[in-house]
Amino acid sequence: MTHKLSRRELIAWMAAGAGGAAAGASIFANLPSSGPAASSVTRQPNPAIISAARPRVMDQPTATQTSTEAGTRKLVVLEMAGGNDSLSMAVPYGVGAYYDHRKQTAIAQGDVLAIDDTVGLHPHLTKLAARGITLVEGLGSMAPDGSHFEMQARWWAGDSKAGPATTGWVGRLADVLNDSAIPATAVSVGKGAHPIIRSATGATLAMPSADFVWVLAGADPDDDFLLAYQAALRGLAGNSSAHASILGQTIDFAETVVNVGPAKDWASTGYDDYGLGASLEFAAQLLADGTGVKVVHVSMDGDFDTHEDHAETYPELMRELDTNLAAFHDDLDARGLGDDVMVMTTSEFGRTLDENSSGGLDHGTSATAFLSGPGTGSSGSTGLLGSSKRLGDLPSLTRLDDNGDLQATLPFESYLAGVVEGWLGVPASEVFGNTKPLALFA
Amino acid sequence: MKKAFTFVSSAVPDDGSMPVSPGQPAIAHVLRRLTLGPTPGAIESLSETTPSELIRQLLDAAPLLVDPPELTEDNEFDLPTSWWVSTMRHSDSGLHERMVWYWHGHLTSSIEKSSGWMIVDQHMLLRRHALGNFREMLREITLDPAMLCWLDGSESDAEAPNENYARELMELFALGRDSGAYTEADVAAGAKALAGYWVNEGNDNKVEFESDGALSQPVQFLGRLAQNVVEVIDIVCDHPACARHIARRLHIEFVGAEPTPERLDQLAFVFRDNDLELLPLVEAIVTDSGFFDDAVPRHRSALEWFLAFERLVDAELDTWIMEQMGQIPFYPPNVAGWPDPQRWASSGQLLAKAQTALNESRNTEVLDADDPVGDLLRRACLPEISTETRAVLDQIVASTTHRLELSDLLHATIALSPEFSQA
Repeated sequence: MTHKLSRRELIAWMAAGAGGAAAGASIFANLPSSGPAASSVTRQPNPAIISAARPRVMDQPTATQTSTEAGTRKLVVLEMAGGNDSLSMAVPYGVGAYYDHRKQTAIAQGDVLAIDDTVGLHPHLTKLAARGITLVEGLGSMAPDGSHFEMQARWWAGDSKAGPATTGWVGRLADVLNDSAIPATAVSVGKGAHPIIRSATGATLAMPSADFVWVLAGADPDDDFLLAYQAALRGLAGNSSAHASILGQTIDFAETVVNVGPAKDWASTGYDDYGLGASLEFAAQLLADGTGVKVVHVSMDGDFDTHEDHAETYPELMRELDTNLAAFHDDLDARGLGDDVMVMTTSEFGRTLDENSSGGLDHGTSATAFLSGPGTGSSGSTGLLGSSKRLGDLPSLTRLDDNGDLQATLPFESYLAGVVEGWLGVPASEVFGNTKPLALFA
Repeated sequence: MKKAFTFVSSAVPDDGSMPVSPGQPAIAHVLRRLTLGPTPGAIESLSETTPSELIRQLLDAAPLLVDPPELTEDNEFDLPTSWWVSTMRHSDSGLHERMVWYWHGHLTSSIEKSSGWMIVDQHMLLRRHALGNFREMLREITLDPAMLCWLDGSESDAEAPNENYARELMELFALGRDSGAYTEADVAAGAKALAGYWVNEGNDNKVEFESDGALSQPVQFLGRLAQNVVEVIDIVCDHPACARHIARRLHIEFVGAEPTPERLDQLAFVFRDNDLELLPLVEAIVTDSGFFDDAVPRHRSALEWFLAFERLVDAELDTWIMEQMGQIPFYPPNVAGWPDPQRWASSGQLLAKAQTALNESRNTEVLDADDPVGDLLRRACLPEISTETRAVLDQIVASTTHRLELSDLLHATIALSPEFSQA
């Protein structure tokens, strides 16, 4: 096919700042403008990115892989969306009331992976039990709500007392950790912009996978059409609108991601090729050196909302969690990142202590979360069962609230703040105001 | 000054009392908000029609009448979606079709927890009531097989009821959590009063009633006594929070912004005064000057973008492309339906759109050689674009000599422009 596209000319023009003349014609003169004054946000395409074969971030010196100083540490927030019944995950098998309330869904004493004589892990969590995790018990709100959306909004905002907020706690963390040379400090693995990463100034973005980054970056030098398209998109990114700003950031980020290989090139791992496995495989790629990403949010969607047939559906959730989180840690180890990455789980609420007539569990209150990463087992990665730890304070199963549910012993933001301060070394007050962080790390 | 809702029950006057911006941009706005989007040529063909005349025509138009698709076990998870999208593509698809799409996101259910047959039955229910009576729609959908499966009402027993439906009925469907209209005790009581039904999949998904699983005595629910589905739905619909919740949701849908408290009071009054008939409520929203004056730009959802892109490149694409953008009809992500429009602005969305635009713009019809950008903007139904976007398009024209390549490149580029991404 012959086409006489003067690519060099086009690229040079785009690089010079295609969007220089900003007039911001709105559809109706009396509609509010969709963005701030054009001159303040007009994006100047970076000539270095357009012309260079390699993106700038790869050319920067990066932190060493082996250091465990706070400066190289990274965080994965694993959200069990839907409301995880943590009584099935971290089973209070030593508490008689558990078996009094759970007639159809209880995990038998002989089946749990015991941590001590009170709590044991779900029998499918064998790999995580072998690595050793730290349970954080009794998390919730002192004024709980039964709505998924209200409680998710509180967890995303990082405030157990208030609902939807203008920023998410991961977004505020990105505000603190932000580095103007890095296209994204925090990434949510998913198709839509997630409220947890909404920031004031920090660069955050949402992307489900690396599958399509080739459209925006790293084209074959002979593919003139794709190169011209990428230059045109770079030109659109010079527009004075929020949409253009996201486009420009996405292009910058794609430039960095195409240079970091997927796990398959590093180590053959045991991820599922769908759902959580695919998301965590991408997360490992994002955490590799060179992207600049410090925090990744991954959501394990929906199925934790076990209103029906809990005993039939929950075991598969635990298998999926165990298999893929273990594969993720193996992948990180193979990349030399094992000592740098902490995984923390969240979920909007636990489930009712009592079962309903569908063999399911309705929306509850307090729940247990866990940390998985360097030092979360009392004896490290020794492969010994029983190396997991318990922190926090398991709620009573007999002193219940007015609805017959567990009473949280700790506002959940203390846990979030404890990870931010204890693991990443960011003062909790910068992200969570006057919340007292929970001591989580020795 | 706004004229409030005095236009509600009379024809929109064309005496200039409705302060709309004249011309094509206003026509395009009406079509983007009140239908599933303009088709190329539609805006030009309406050059003799005022925006208020167009709104009137859309309010008065008859709905598309369709027969359900013939499903088999091989196609039950694919055909409902592609069949519905083909209905949306119809040139007479208008306000009613938009409302059917709206209700699928509001009174939502997923094929994944029901079946192809059940979801098509629910879809036909929404078609019947999309601009009809909200109370009737809510009553019917409460005992709809797909809904009974999706929110676990099926086989719920009043002794230990499943609370899923009772909660979302009030929180998402009819009252709103922030209304403060209900308590946890109302959720529990509502669940008891709704119990006793199951979907008999062995008998054509017939909904059966089992009195053993139902309440034998009424319970206190929202301050009144309720013992069965009809009473629960009547008590919910009679509650003042119901009219406000629906009026607010539809105002946000059409205007893109929260109504002011005074405006919400007016709209809720109209809705209650019309016995929860939806057409007068929609009419009150879209014939008010606020429909234009208060309109806030919002991002096109994946479905809106997909349909607009199909029209741009004049092709029917595989509906599963939308899955990459997180929105496949009949597969909502959760009980709240589709995410709020803010979420449609993400890197992942842009990547998926760029990939689709690149792949599906390789055989576009060649653009008018004398005015390729003007021709492109007609196909894109964009009467106005920013000077910045125009500069990018002009530069592509100036630097591309091969006409086929030029056409493809322009189509792929406009599809990712800020203007094309807005509803």
